[in-house]
Amino acid sequence: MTTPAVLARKAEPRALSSADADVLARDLADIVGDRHVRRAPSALLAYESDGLPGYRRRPLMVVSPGTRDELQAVVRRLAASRIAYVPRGAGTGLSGGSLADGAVLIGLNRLTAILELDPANGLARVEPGLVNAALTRACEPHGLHYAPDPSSQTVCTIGGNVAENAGGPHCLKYGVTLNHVVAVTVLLPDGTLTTLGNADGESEGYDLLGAFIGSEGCFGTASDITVRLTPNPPAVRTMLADFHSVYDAATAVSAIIAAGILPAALEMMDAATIHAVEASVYAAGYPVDAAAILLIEVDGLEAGLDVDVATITRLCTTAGARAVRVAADVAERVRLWQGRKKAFGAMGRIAPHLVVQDAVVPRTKLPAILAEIAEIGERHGVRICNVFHAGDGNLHPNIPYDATDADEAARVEHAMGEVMHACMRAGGTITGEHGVGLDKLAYMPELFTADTLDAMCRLRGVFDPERRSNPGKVVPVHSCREWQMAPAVWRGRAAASGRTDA
Amino acid sequence: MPDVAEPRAAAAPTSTAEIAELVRAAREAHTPLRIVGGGRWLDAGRPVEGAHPLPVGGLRGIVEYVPGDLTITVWAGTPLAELHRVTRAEGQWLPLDPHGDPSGTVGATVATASTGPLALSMGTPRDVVLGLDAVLGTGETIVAGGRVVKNVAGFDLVRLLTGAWGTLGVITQLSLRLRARPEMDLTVTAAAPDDARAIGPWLTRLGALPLAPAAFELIDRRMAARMGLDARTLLLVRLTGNAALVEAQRRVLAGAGDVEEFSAGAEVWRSLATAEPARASCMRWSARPTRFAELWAAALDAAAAIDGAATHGTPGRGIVRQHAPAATPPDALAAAWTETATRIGVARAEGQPGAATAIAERLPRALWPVLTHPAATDRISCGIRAAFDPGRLLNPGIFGDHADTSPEPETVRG
Repeated sequence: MTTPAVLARKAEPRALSSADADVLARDLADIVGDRHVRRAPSALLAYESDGLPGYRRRPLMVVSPGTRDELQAVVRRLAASRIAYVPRGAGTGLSGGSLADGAVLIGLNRLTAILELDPANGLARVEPGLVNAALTRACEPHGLHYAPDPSSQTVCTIGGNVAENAGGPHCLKYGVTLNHVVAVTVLLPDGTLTTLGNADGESEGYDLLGAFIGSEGCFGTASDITVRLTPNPPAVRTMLADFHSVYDAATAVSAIIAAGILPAALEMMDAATIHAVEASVYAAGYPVDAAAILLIEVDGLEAGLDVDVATITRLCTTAGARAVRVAADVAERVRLWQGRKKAFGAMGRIAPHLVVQDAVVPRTKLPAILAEIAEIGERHGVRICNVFHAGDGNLHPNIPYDATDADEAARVEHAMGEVMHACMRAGGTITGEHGVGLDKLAYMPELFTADTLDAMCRLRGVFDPERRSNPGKVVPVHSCREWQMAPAVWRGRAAASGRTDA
Repeated sequence: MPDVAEPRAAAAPTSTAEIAELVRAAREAHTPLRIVGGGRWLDAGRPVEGAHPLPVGGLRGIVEYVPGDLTITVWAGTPLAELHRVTRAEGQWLPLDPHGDPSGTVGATVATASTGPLALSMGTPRDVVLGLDAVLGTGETIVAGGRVVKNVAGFDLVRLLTGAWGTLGVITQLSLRLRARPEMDLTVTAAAPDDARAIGPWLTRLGALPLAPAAFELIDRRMAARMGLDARTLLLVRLTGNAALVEAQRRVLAGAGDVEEFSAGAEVWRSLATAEPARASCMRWSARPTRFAELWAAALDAAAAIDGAATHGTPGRGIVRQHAPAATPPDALAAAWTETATRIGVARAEGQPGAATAIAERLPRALWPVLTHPAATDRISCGIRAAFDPGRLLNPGIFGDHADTSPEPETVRG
């Protein structure tokens, strides 16, 4: 087999003169209309950051296509001039993944159509800018919902979910985005369209769809997405268990999993988080004197559900729970979940800035890692709030702080670094659902071998040989051998223009 | 399988490093390799261009098993049966039940993304594999994914190698997600209409009942006979969960018609998995689940023209699978299965959209080009192959993607 042309071409990022940028803006406006190309610094401000505070990157311009044809025309125009771009959904990502440093930012928010709803087969084909919760609302009349439920689901988009392989509390039972997408039409960085996966039966050949999901915009842009819809469970029980100690709560989590019960969700919140939530407008009635609470949901057929509730209650009590209560009605259930889903927002009240972390450990390591995280927080004098998907071992240690206080900011950074290293030492990983983006780049060489990172680079290179789609994310550029072997002059230019893409 | 000999490598490699050494040596000598797992179960019947066997059956055993994590790390050559035994001792299971004898290896199951009836509720290998070690065709070793149940760090090499039939890398080690064994595991059979036209409405009626089965498989009368059951169309329903949940569903099914129970349910499923005769030809058709009855009817018409063909399917996944004895005249097989594909709207060429999909599991050599299109021939797939296995060393041609100048293909027996 000969090397395909897509591999033979070497990446060559292109610095854009101001005159070139004017021409580009005019061309893009011809495609999408003047109103949908933004260049004024005031207009770009909103796009300088995403859901993760601490990073600001200014895009060259923002272009918002209104149709999939316009999207393709935009990407073709960018390909013609070899210009780097970043696709962006709602910008709620928590890893800096949708920041565009001098690149063109493509806003996908106007592409919100549901192209096909096939309730009998539990399938929906949608545009990438459709909001996650809007899809669930649309299929509600058919008794269906879209299962992945990140906390940002009222604003985040399906396209963004696909890019990040987003999770959420109910992924414990129902699986993450990967398990719910059956096909994606991808707009490759060269402007051509290709369909990955198959909505009409099984697929043969490489699981390119699986490779695409979670590629953080580095393989191209999803132009339409076919997802699987999940029947609403006929019965649900939502429980709240509160504990004297975090250790006891973590022990209860292990006991429930080991007992063979697969809850729909199994979430933990520690005292710091409970206080933040209860002091906010999202107050859910959590016990403020508890060291930790578990929010546990079981669902399915009505039969047998109360047996599971009884088993879970017994396991929590044995582990040291003070009380276990079951939500009496839908209103209480919604309130209990509201507190969990808005916990990050509630932390925002405590301090002007918030570090949101995301790491995973093997489930048996939860009690030990939570103790270690508490020790790290104490040693650095920072307040760590834990709110996380305990059933998956997916931690979210968050730190509210004041970024303008240089000393505090430094302590936060050190503490977070130690937390991540502790999770890696425990056999875990650096991100369970937020992605690598910019934020976790530095940990990648610690987590993966050089050969593994290079294989990732090569995979990306097949989809995006010029490395123009979301440059500088996921895999550090210095781990790509192709880049290492590139002429020094090019490496220098890439570094100078900030386009150190992977 | 009795007709497939154990590979007789002088010294089967027992470590990833040894596999890497063999792949590097093969690369230098330009010797294509045929990856051989257990060498017993997965008689893939897929044509591989004349290649030297690379045995991975020596990579065997448990690397790490912490039951409380519900994850296990194993060598890829470990037989599924051994995994089932080890996890059962802890009240857990690996919910992969591919068709074939359980002496087949977990590595082969993942490399071929093979599934069985449990896939309805438990997912396919791509949903179960958490991490893997593999030796690429370049001789490099990758350590992809991890050992935790949720992980989005880096590009997903795990999904890429799962179902790649070994053509990107030789999988040497796997980390897998386990499930706790349910308190009860009961299998119920219900008599289903023999008339294919009546299947659709009958399934629709069952679908409205409060059931959440672990497996829900329709078998035709020939398959039932092969399994030693009454020779009639049967529905096999596997109910798992706590006693109250299983009992409630059993009552629901009992009210739905002619029902029989199997306390030794696991044996029914084992006999379904191993029902096909040695070296039988096997085809799988799939479409959106609402088209299941149409696929079923077309498959039964095909079976009527093939002596000894047996059919089964998973309505919830829109999949119908049929096998025909090895002795079936190729012309008859080609005619029957071509007709089926046309009727259900299978795409006429790779990359063309089709209303249904046909995947051959095993065919007489001459029928591969007649009944299948080469897979993984799109630009992206070829690019990935070139990036991971530039010398086309690993199972070349297994996707039907033969190089024009290749020697006559021989049949792989991985």
